[in-house]
Amino acid sequence: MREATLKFYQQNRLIIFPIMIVLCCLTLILIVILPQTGKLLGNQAAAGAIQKKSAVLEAKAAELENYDTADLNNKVKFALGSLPAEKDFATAVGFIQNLTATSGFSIASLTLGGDFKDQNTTSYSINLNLLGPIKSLQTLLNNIENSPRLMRVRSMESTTKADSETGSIFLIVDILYAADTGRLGAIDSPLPQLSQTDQEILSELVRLNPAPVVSAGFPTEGQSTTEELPSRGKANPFE
Amino acid sequence: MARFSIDLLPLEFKAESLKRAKFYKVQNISVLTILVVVFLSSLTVALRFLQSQKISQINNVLAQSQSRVSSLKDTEVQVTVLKNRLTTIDKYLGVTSLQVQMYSLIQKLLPGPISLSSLAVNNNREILLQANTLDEGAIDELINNLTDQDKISTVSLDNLNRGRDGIYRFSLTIKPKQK
Repeated sequence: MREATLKFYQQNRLIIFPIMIVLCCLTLILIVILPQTGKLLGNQAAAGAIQKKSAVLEAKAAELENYDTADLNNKVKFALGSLPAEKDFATAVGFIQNLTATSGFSIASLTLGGDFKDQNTTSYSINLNLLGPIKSLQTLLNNIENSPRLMRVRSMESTTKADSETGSIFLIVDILYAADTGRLGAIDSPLPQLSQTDQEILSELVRLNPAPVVSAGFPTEGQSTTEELPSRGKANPFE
Repeated sequence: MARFSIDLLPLEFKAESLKRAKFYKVQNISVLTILVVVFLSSLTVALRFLQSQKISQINNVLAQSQSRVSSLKDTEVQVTVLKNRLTTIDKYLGVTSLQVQMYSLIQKLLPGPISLSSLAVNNNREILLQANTLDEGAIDELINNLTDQDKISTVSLDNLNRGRDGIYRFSLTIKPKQK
């Protein structure tokens, strides 16, 4: 059998040998070269994507490190003072008391109303019964709507007595808040940029309310969660 | 004397010799081919190995970057909150509500002889106005002023009466144009 095989090979080696070589080459190409080349090309694209992602993260980290933490906390404080994350009854009532007193009105009664939800904000209402000069009502309304603590007048009703400049006013004021917890997206999501408009708003908030009060619920880093109540009433009640 | 050669080798031997030469030629080519393929295989494997090392390095750099960003997560939260707040505040700060605008408008258009008794602006920004005056022309003037305004949709005189004291008492419902 072995001799027959050898004799067969000797007679046909001109064909058998090349065929064997071709088969070996094909095997090497199919098992080694083609798969490895495929992986090489695929990994090249993946490596490029990883490098790109890494560059984005590096830029984001550099940008975050550029922020002055204290300044950022201060800005957040002003923003939350204007539009807090939770209901801040005491602060809002304090603001309203100050605004009404400044405009020459006295509060006959004050009650808390229901909640109202908008696209971006939620609000709770404060119902006010005021007594004071009707001529100053426009000033009061402007003061409420230009207050650094965001408020909107939802409805009003004024009644004037005959031959009298004073009247009673019933106001429903919506006190806005937004329960945004600042949830983050993916780690490589772009960092929000503060535009020129944002800086102008911050400057305006600082101008309107140099000492903002931040209600509990969203403590900023290093910030106390204790509420600071605004001053209420006259400085000297005996005047 | 001419030279002549006599080939005494048998024909089979000659054929065998030719066949052997041909085989050696094919063998050389085959060996060369397989050497090239083996070389290419080794090259491919080596490149893959180098690439996997490079990818490993890139992944390390990525992990460091991710760790760096994660450590600044609090700052990112602050920036996100700040941006969201300021975007919302921008929609309201310094912007007067339609209710107050309507009230301001009515105050501006109210003629002097008219004395306002009550004014109500409801959620739908409709205004219910009750006033009185001695001058009936002032009522016409007020209604004309109101109907000339772009912001006002309809003005309806709900009630008008004249008392024995000569004072005209009237109520108007003013509806603004919806945006």
